[in-house]
Amino acid sequence: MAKDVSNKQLATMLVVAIVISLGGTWAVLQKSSDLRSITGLQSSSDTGTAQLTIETIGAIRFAVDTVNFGSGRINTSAGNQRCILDTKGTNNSAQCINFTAVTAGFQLENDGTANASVQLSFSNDADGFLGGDPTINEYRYNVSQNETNSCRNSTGGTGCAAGINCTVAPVSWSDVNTTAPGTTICPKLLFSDLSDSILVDINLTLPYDTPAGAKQSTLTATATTAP
Amino acid sequence: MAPKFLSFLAFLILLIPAATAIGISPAIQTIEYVPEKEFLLSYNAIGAESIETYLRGDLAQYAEIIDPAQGSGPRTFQVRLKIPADAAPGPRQLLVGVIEQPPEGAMVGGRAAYQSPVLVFVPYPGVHLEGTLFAHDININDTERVKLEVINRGTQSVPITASIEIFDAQGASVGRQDFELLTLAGSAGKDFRYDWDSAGHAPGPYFVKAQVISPSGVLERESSFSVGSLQLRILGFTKNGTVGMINPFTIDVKSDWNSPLASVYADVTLNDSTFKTPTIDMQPSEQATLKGYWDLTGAAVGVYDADIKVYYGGALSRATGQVSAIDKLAENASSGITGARIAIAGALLLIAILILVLRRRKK
Repeated sequence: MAKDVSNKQLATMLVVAIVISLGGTWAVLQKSSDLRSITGLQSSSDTGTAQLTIETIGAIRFAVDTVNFGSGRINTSAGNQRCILDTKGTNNSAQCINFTAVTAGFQLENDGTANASVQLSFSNDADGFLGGDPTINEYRYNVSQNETNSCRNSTGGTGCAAGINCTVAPVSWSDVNTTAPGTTICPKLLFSDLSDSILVDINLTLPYDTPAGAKQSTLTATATTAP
Repeated sequence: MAPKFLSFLAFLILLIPAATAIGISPAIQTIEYVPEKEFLLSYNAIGAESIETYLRGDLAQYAEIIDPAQGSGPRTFQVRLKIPADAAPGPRQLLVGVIEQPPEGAMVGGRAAYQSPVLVFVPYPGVHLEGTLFAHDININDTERVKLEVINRGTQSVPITASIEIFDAQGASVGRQDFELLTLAGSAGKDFRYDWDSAGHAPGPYFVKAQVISPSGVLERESSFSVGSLQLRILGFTKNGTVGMINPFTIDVKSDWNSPLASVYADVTLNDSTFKTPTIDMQPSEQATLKGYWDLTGAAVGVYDADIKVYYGGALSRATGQVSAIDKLAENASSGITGARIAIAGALLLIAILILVLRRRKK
């Protein structure tokens, strides 16, 4: 083990350190006259260019990306021909047995730094998804603003321009579109955090003869930067 | 120690978002049309754990993706685009897309895709001028900064002169600027700016007309703007209230100011009683409604003098008139009398029709 340093030795080392420090400072100050030409003053007419590139990011996400109505059946014993379920809580117990009530639709957010148009397509229609009597089955959706004025029309307005160029669409239940890239549901989804979110709700009509088994469908939201 | 660790773990789990974003950078880019030129564009795919990349758009057939890690997580990839020599004139685009996998186990699952456009404008043969005119609403004594953007979408250069003129609501010219002759090369653009001082001019609507004259013709563009005044107009207010209850009292107002107005409110005096509405903030040129409550519990039926003062931006608008305090029974009776009159008129009409039919049968 090394011997402990005494107070006397410590004091000596401190004094030496102070002397070296002061000496160094004095030496630098003596040399400082050589450095005086370095100032903030422009010494020639050369020009410089400051370049800055702001990169844009296009990003989108489903804050809510799944909907599950669980398992159940249609209450045909009571003479019902159909069971209607939607993501706004519709789940009539007289028509539908055991299904889970769902009160939240798909929530789509613009997470990028650019405004974007959004299209929506579905992997299958009512026949492909639900099956059963094609005159009864329905697979529909609608779109609404989740945060006020998140979706603008193509010219940036909050209403309909010229009666056709509107914001979110469709606002009433409409049959799904299975042709990619799908239907334009928002011409300009803003990226500002306080208003960058829309809702897609879905509505299912299951006919009395819906085949048993697991049902699966995927909806694809495609955002494209709006110039 | 264990509970603390578990709490921390739970906190971390809470921080994990329900679903990750999918994205691409850059989100958009524009490239110059050079026939047969090859571009190598770099992209960052971001967000999801499994990302597929793809191409769409009318230039997709001239492009290929260089992405050795299809289906993997965030990464860099490239797109090689060879501009065709025979592309049709006009706006063309390549869409570079990224798409995530659908969620597993969902009855209905959502998946997101993002497309970054690559914009290419293929020039028209010869001269093709396009113009856009910009004007914005201002307030009195402000300067209107009119901008005319002109771009030659053609391949040939062209000499042009331009002018911007401003007219008032009566169609009289209140300002004009002519720009010197210049030559606009193919695919080149030029901004023309005219700063018009509104001092000395009345508030109201104004119209802007711009002309670009070239050997190929005259290009005209029009726009409009308004010069706002710090004035809030009282469009109307409640005319009736029912005695024995507290009545809503509304005042419709319209701002002529082209900037926001904060803390707008009204003081309402109805004979001896006074109330104040809550304050509202108004957007430029907005029409809004101020709402207060008129207490007529214990008040007498009659006509009251109304004095309405609306305060905004250090100014005041005032409206006076009369409002009626009416009895609910009298109101109902009045509507009942109207209904009886309609019923009597209907009965008389039916009798007249019946007489006519009987007379025709007798003949």
